[in-house]
Amino acid sequence: MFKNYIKVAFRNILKHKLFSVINVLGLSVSMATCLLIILLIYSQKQMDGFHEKRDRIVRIISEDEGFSWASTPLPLGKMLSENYPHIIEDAVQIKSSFVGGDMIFGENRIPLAGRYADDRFFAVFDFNLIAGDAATVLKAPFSIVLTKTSAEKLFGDTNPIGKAVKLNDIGLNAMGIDLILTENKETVLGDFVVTGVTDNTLPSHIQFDFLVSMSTLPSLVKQGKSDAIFDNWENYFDAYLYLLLKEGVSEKDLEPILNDTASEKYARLEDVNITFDSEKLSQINLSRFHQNPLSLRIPVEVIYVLSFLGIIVLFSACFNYVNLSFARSLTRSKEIGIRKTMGAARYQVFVQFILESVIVGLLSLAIAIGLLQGLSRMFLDLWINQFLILDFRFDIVLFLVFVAFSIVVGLMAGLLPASFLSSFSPIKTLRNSKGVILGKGKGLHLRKGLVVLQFCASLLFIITTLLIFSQLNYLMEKEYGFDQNHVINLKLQGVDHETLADELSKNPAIQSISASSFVPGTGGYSGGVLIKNRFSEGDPDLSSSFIAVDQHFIPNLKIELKAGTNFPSEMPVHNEEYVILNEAAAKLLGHSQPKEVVGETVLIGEDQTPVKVIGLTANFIYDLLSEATSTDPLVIRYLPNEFAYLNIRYTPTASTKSILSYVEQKWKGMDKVHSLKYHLYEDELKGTNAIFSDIMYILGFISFLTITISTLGLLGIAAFTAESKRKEISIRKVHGAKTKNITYLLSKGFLPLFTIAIVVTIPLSYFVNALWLEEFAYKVNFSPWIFVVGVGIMFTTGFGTILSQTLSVANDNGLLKRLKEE
Amino acid sequence: MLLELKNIFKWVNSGGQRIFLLKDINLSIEEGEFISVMGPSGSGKSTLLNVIGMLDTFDEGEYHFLDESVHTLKEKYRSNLYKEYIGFVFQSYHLLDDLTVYENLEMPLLYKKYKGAERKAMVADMLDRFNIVGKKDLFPAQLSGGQQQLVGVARALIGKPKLILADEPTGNLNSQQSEEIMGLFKKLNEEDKVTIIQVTHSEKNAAYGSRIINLLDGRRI
Repeated sequence: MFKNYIKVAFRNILKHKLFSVINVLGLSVSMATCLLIILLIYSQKQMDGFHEKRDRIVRIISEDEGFSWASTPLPLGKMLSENYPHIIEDAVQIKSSFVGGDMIFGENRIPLAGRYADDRFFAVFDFNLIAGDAATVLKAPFSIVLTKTSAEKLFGDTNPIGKAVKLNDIGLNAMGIDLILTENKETVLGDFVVTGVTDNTLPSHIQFDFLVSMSTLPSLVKQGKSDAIFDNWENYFDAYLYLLLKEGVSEKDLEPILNDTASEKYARLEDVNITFDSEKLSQINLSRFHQNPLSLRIPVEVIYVLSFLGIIVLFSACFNYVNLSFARSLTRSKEIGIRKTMGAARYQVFVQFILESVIVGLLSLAIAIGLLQGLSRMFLDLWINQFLILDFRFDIVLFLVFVAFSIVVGLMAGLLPASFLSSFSPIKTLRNSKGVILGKGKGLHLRKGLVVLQFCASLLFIITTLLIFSQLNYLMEKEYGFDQNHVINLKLQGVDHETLADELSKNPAIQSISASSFVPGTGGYSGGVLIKNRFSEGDPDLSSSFIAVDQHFIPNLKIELKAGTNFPSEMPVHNEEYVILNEAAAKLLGHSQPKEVVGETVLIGEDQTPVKVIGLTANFIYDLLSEATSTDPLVIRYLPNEFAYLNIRYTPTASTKSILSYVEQKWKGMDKVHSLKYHLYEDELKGTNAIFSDIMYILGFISFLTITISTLGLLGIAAFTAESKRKEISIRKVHGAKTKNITYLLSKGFLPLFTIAIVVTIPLSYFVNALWLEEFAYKVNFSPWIFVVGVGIMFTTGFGTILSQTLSVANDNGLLKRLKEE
Repeated sequence: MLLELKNIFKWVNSGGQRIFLLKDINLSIEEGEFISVMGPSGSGKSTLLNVIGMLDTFDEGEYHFLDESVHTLKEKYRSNLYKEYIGFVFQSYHLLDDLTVYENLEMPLLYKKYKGAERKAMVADMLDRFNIVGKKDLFPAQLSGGQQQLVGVARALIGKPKLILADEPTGNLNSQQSEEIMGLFKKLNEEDKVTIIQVTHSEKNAAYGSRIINLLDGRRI
């Protein structure tokens, strides 16, 4: 029976090529999108799946003032595991602060980033320990476990076990993010003994190049090389705590313990309202976001949004299937009638049609898996993914998930058509040799409704894409308030800025050089500082961001000085005497005329150092454009210790390439270890908007799919409408109808649908887009042109498609012949 | 007795008026009869055939088929009944265009839960009997009208029905093809004792049968 159904299904698919191509094409591209999302979720779910005890491992999170934190106070781990041995089998803590910098063995200096972890690390987690004893590798102070890759870099073929390495800590982070500032000063942590080598290539949210034993910390504290505190219950940024629960114990049993602990520790403290909660290891990558994460991952909200978009595209493709099947029921009705007369029950006909749609689903899957290869590569190339731990692996389970998914899609697409088609009564279908006359009743309303929905989705996507595009364009063109052209920003990495600047300025093509603690507009940040003046006595604490710069910075970046002067060329190195404020900071201090702030003495910092305001700059944008507002206060300070970047301005006529090779050469002369790290300022600023480009790519892609799929659907519907009206058209032509009359006749039915879609979608897209646009201080206006262009695109593609079909029928002179034959 | 119709009425309401398609039809048919239903266009011939074939319902009256009261049966049992005992032959053959001759013959068996091997044997037997073994892999469009109707008859017979209902089986055929098909019906009736009810316009075809039923405006005359 099934064999027969499948045979018939394949013959039908082959026979009605337009129908099949539209369906398979639409379903496969939309499926590929969904497969990518499934792959994404699956890979997140697989993360940390290799730990044998994963089902019993939970991470403790802290909650305070409505925020949740992935980290916990350092003393919590010990306290819990000592007091509740009947619940907790084991516990491991990883310090949240970064440890990393140059690791030195003999002649080899390699920058590596790692973590402090306690000795239970390899007992709780199943990172594969290639060498060393799991129970003791992280026990003794100054023990270090290298990853296989780090060990190979540092030791080559030599066996690293028992060897001593030096570690110069600059707080290098293990998250792969450039923007997180590293210390500008190296701390020589001393000699470490390699006790183990681990292979951490399996996907985990815990990323590291090496692990240092937690027991090292007390010694470092004694030597003044660390300020770790082990008994601070109020600092929940300190450590990540993972508990291994006893067999048969659930998170529920842990809950009262966590509550008791929190109330015992914090109840008597005023203003402290910290609580603890737990989450399963498997949930870490697929649950809500926590502050101070151990590693970055895709926020679950993004997965929701992507899934939502995927489902819209998928539904659009399913709509096509439903629509085309209904339109085509005309040609299938005879078959249904015959089968029923020959004894087929309704369910048998139903099964036959469902099977057909499932086959179409499976065919689409085959193509979708092919498309997925390209699509996942495109996805991984997105800017954001360099920060995420994504590991796309195919396995049999995933494949089965895919197959199940495509079957579900097939069922979804086929359900309505199958139940409709199987309801035909044999007598009606056979009595009329032309088959059942459709176009009346429920089927038609459903079809029109689906076409409207597709129009709506396409229009919404077009408008949103246009708007994001113009917002991105706006941000790209936005003036920052400084001149970023022909500037190279170089990361100092501990090199003395004056020495390097002296060397570089020997090149006549280099015009000026300045130093700063971060590069404005690139997402860097030096911190906030308290600020006070005579107006703000008794006011709550005012605070402002600050940037540390040298005396060349303001003229070098051509920042406008509104009043006063720049820092004098001779600055006292040790005492901070002068600051420059921006206008927003002057306003913050209560000056309605910002210029009046010049000459005033303000108190800055915790210790309220009195400093004189000698200058006032315009409000240039120093934060990321997407975050910045025009009222962000900024204190410009002279703090040479904080300098982390050189800003090198070169003459516009000089070639960037030759300047760079000059800089590189000088850099090598001063720092033999670290490679030169630089960015062209102009490019870097553009790069900060990369997240928008990502969103643009994704949304643009989805809109493209939605539009393509709905256009395909429209093509099919128009083709079948024209086909089914051939007789009407020929009769009209016999009576003298012109091509344009017929074209109008065939197309006019779509006009009301189109109008409904516009009326529904325009307000909807306005509200949806206003939501995210609100988040920007610098944003484009919601211009009516966006709607006009959006509707124009829709109209052109939609009616172009319809016309292509109706015109071909209206012009078909063979029609008359066919009418004669009838 | 194979079937009996008692006071069958069938009507449609059109513009406030009741139009009778069948009016007080009484008819009883014995096993082994060969009946021709005749009458002008619109006299209710096909409707009567559809009612007998249980494809269509009626509004009043009783219908007994092999001791079953069809008028009281539910749709599902009714379809089981005709599935088992009745074969249909149509004027325009109504073969499935996407299936080969072999598959068209096999199709009714699929809905009767025969096993694969049984189906194979039954189809082979039928191909043999109708001398169309060589055509088994052809599609209907590759056959002449007469050959198509031959397949149509073979398909109606394959489920071993007691009754064959044929609605103008030769309406689309030339005279030579017509004679072949009618000869086949006669042979089936005489040798295999299959009961046949045919609708026809042609006196010549009607003459093959043992009894003629004349209809006019839904009434027996």
